[in-house]
Amino acid sequence: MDLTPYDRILSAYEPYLVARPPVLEAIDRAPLGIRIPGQNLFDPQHTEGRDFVSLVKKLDALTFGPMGLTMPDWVFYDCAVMPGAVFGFAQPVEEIDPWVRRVLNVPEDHQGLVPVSIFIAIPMAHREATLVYTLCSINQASPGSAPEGMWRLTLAAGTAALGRDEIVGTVQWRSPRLGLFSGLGPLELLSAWTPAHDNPTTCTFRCVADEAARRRLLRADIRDVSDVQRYLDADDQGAMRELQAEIESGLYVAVAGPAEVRGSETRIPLHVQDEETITERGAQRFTRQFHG
Amino acid sequence: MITTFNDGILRDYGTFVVATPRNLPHLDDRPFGIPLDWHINPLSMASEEFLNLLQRLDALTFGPEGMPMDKWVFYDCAELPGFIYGFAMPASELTAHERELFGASPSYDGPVPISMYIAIPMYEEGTWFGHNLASLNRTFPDRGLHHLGSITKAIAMRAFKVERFVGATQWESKALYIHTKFGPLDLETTYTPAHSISETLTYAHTVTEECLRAAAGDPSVTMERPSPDLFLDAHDVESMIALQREIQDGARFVLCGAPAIEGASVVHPIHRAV
Repeated sequence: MDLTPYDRILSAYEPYLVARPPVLEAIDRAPLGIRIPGQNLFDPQHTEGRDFVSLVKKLDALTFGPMGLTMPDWVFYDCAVMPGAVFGFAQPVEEIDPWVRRVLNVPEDHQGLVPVSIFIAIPMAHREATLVYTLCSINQASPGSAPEGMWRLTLAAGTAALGRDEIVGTVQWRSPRLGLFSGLGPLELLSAWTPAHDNPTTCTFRCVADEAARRRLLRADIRDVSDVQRYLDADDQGAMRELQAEIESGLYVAVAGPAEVRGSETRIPLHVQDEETITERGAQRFTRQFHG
Repeated sequence: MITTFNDGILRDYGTFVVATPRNLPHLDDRPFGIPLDWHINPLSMASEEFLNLLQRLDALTFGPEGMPMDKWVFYDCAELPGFIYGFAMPASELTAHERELFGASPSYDGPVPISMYIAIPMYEEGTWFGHNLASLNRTFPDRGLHHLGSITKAIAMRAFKVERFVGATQWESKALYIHTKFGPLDLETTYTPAHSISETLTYAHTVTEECLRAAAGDPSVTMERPSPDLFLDAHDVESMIALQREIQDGARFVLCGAPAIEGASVVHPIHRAV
């Protein structure tokens, strides 16, 4: 896989993994060919590495806190590092600008790595997909502090390391993460309006995350959305409820690509077709475009 | 069937599971022959009130000093990856006081949960992490719900088809009286900085028919337990850290059984396995 466009990340940042030994033994320690050094493996059940793990939790709080979705430490333990694992990129503390260290509240005496991105995936009972419920990067908290593409590379390498060939995720309709995930391919909607979540304007999706999907994501392919049947206004809760009702009645709906923004309007392109058509057309209609 | 500490619960209350349609086929929907009365799909809008009641059950069980779960935690960390199983009753059977405590809407006539057990599948197939156990036996003392927590956990573990179980709790937690009913517990950590409360232990055990029946209260089953080599005071942080260091160096310890009260202290019997 050609990672040349990501040289700025790969030359300055190191991958890390927080996982229990049985998980470490089972997963890919060189996702996309990016080898995770032995010293960057952290066992959440050991007291060593607690400072690094604490910074992982701080980064999560900085990026999800403003959305009211801060993950308590006990949830991080029970629901992330015990059932699954955390992957991401990190940088030696001395190479991080002082202003970024302040944002992350890195202790003055901290030595070693500071995490700059997080991908958390855990198994699901049916074992056919992996649930991704955290994906974030330092650029959300300190815009411009890490190269462009940190999110994208973290998602691609994270799914390669921890994922199966299918992921399930949750994301808010107005979140830019929706566009990032759609870089993998069509996002089949499992829910469009989610009252089970604190923020019901959350959608739940499943998508293929195999090697071909990761290649598309890393190339930043733009999907041809000429066969989009419908758009969802990302601020229209009534439309989300209606879409949810249609999904519950059996309609297949998939997010076709990133949101389109004009003025104060955000609209999400949707495929509303049968599954077979979506899969076939989706696979054929990817076109490579350069993101300048 | 199963004999429990309190068979009246099985007789008088129904059971529910919260599971996505894709996870549901992986559930044993008749654990110990007990039928499933309500399936709640967390992806459905119609489930909203029941899921709100589960959050209320969590709050009623643990109170303001507990570790309350936000809805997104229920959704992302329980309902999507795993299962929530418990006992419930129709809203029409709630007293006015109970309805007020739950905050159920006047028009709601669906099931109301009185207990729940949440577990999450772990990376190792067949291994599950215990995430939450809530029950209202203390909140509703007149209902005769004693041992509801133990019975719910034991039946839920059968429903989830758990082969190896891992859990985390605090050394001071009364929940250890329930967890140790399942037999001796392997200690994976005795001091856990990755958790909100470092004085947390992580325990694990193999799940057998025998241990589930023992925990639910079948008098014909008794669990063999090793004899303790040492006792850990629930407030002795230095000893927790010392044991943790030994574990990290390769030692193995087993929590033999329930905590004991010695004067003003709570002490835990621990066996040195290696």
